[in-house]
Amino acid sequence: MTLSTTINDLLEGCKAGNRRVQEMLYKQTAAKMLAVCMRYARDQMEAEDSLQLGYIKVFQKINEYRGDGSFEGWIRKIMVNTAIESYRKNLRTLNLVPIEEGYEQPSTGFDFSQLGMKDLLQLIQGLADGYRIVFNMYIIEGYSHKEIAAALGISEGASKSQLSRARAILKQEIIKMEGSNYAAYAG
Amino acid sequence: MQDKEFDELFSSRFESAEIQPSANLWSKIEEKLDTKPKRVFPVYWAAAAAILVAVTAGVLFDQTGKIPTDQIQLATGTAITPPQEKADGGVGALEPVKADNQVAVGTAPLSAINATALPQQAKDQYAVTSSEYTTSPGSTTAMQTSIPEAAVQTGEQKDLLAMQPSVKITHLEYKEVSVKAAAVKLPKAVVVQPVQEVMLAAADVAADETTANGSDEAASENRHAESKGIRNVGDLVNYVVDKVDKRDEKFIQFKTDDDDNSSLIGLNIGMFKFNQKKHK
Repeated sequence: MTLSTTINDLLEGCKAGNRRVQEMLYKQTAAKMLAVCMRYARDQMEAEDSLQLGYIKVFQKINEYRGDGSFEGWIRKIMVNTAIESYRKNLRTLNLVPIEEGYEQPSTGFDFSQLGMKDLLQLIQGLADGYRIVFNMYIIEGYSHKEIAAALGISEGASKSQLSRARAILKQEIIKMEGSNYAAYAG
Repeated sequence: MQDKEFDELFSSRFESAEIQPSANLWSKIEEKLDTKPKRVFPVYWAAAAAILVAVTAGVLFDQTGKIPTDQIQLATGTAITPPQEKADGGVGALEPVKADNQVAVGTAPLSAINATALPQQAKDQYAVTSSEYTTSPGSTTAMQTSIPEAAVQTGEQKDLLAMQPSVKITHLEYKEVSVKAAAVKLPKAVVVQPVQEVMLAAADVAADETTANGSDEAASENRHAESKGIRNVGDLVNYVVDKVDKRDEKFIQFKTDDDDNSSLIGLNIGMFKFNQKKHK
């Protein structure tokens, strides 16, 4: 029995508002969903706030889940939307950082595969809000620029430029990180 | 490193990433789920409350000046407040002169009606007062106090009366006034008029009350005889307001002759008055 079928088994109980079943669903999915929320937040506190809001929405809107797409995917989508909404509420306009041309191209010989999830998460959380959200939506959630533009109320061009800038910053940061690791290792 | 390679690094790392949330997070969520969404306060409740406030305010502000002549028009008072006020006055009024104001001599049935208008407590006070200051030598008349009148005569009691007097009492008051002149001339002082007599007289009350109510209803029906019935919301409002507010200038009145829309012709809410045309 896979995890997803287990979650699907919980669907009916959640629809009926059974608190125990709701808790089981939470326990099965919360860690994954917190990992999603963490990418959109600056720190764990902020992430847990939006995780909490997200689950409340999940249980309130459970009857709107029609079964197209996986149940887990549906929950994840609600988490992402909740995270985006909280940003749109807090910041009238996304804090889009002006693009600087001519950033340094990272070297090609570096082995990125050594980097773990927590390292990358730390890097993402260090990005400015606009970069972070666009990067997450495009690279990890797989939204198109058109969808991102619509969700954030920005132009497609802005979405593209935010993404490329976010990439560049992250690459630079990885090189810095590797450099310091290498220095520590070598020294 | 190509963008594609870079992107895949990130997406693969986060694809099945898990981070354990704080242990107490579920209880927070459960708490939020348990709190029911706020019930929306119905608009019509708010409207009803607003009207109630307006009526109270309007009547309160406006009637303070004209109670003695205009009479107290708001019905449904429990008559409890006035008697209590009265009782105070009666007890405090130890001088015969003042008692004179408040004591009226009536025939037995009339007295009985008055007596029943009073709660038991007031009645007791009453009996004491009358036994001290009044007498009815060789006659069957009972000495009674006209409560509404006594209250009206005391300036600071007007407000309470305006809110709570009953039509029935008002009605009786008219009779009392005529009787009162005689009462003043009667020798005050001397003795008795036992409590028992008051109590006995109460037996007659039921019948008398019925009559009083009956005639009162008849009177109020006459008031509405000229109206053309309730055809729209404006009429309904006018009717209800008319029941509650007996003044010439109602706290709110609509013109309902034009069938399309009821237009406001009169407002009388305390300090704020508005009257489009004189009516009646």
